[in-house]
Amino acid sequence: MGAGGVIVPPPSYFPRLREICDRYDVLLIADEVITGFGRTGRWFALGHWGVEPDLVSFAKGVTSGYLPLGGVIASKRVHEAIESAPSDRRFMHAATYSGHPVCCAVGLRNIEIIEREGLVERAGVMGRRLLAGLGDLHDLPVVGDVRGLGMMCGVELVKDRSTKAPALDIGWRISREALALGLLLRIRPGSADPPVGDTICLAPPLMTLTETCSTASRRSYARRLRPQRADYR
Amino acid sequence: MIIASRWSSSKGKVRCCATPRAANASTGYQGCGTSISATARAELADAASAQMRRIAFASAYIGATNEPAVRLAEKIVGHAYPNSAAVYFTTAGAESNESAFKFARYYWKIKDKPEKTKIISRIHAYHGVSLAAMSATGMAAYHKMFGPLVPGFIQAAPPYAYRWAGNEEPGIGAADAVEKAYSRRGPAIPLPRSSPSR
Repeated sequence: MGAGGVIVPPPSYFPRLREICDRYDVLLIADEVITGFGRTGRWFALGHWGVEPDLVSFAKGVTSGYLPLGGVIASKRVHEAIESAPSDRRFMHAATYSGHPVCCAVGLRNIEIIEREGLVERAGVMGRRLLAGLGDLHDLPVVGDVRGLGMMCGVELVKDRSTKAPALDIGWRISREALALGLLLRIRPGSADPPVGDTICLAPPLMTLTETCSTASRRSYARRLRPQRADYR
Repeated sequence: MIIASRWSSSKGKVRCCATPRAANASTGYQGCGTSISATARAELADAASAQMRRIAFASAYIGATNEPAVRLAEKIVGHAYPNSAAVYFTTAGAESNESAFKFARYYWKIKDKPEKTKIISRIHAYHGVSLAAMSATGMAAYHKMFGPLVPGFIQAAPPYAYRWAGNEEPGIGAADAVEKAYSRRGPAIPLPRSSPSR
């Protein structure tokens, strides 16, 4: 889960969900709009847990945003059903820009870059480094949870670590300070009910420099996320 | 090139991210997690230019297709799951999710189980800007702004380990929450106003 605060599932979740779907004859749709095309260190995220969905939605990473393009991957089971539909119930789902040749040509070249430069493997390696670097922020009382998978990480902020009371209206200040240090962030705003603290979300390009991911450099993510002012340390 | 989001400077001037200074910034959340191969790749611009000069547009109606779409679909199927077979292209993530919901409902109609229409998603998840994608989105703020929701959408608790309150292991508990949501009889129920349903 990305925009919802980078919630990383425990390893038990997706295998169990697949088993439940099979038991009730339910299709499993994986929304991989953010996770697809290598961001988590696998081409598609459910590969981490050996789970195969019936449908996969994707977008963003397929062209790295150079042109708008998305899509749905259908499994053999779904594809065969669609192909075998009787003519009076045949599939009608067309859109003017579906399969736009210019967007697809850019997507194709983008995937060739990902393959050539080993960016999926790099996301796994750099992601572990990034998560370890962000882990250093745990010495700040405002940091409740640091989580991530590959090149997507979340830092959830709390008022009180023991009660996990959400820290609210602090994310935007951190975001502004980080921007002054040359770092663009996204903040998932928290809420009192259900309790969720403001969460700093990171999803940098997969070829981000090593020094930016580790803590050694002043230009690292972790160093620039450290509050510069005393009032919310 | 970069992102079109804007902010106001202290002097009231509006500046845009697409300035040389911002281009040098580290993009911690570039284009909402869009960028895989990063910015300023000339070969991607060249690929677009070359394709525009060859065939700039081709309709995908009545079974037609085009070479880049076929080659890209083959690439994607090759990198996706062992059971992956075919690709339908859209223009963005919301339209991808809309299409996936429609494919799932259509599948059950072809299988003569037209009553299978419910779509279960997770609280806190964001699925896109369109109305059905918003109905799958588990964030009450969007439902308040743009409700009522499209019928048939239900939300269940996510595997949110940090804030998991149940006694079960969070992965197991959250998967079982989806089972409970599925097993409820009758029409889909709307998102609860406050705490996640377990």
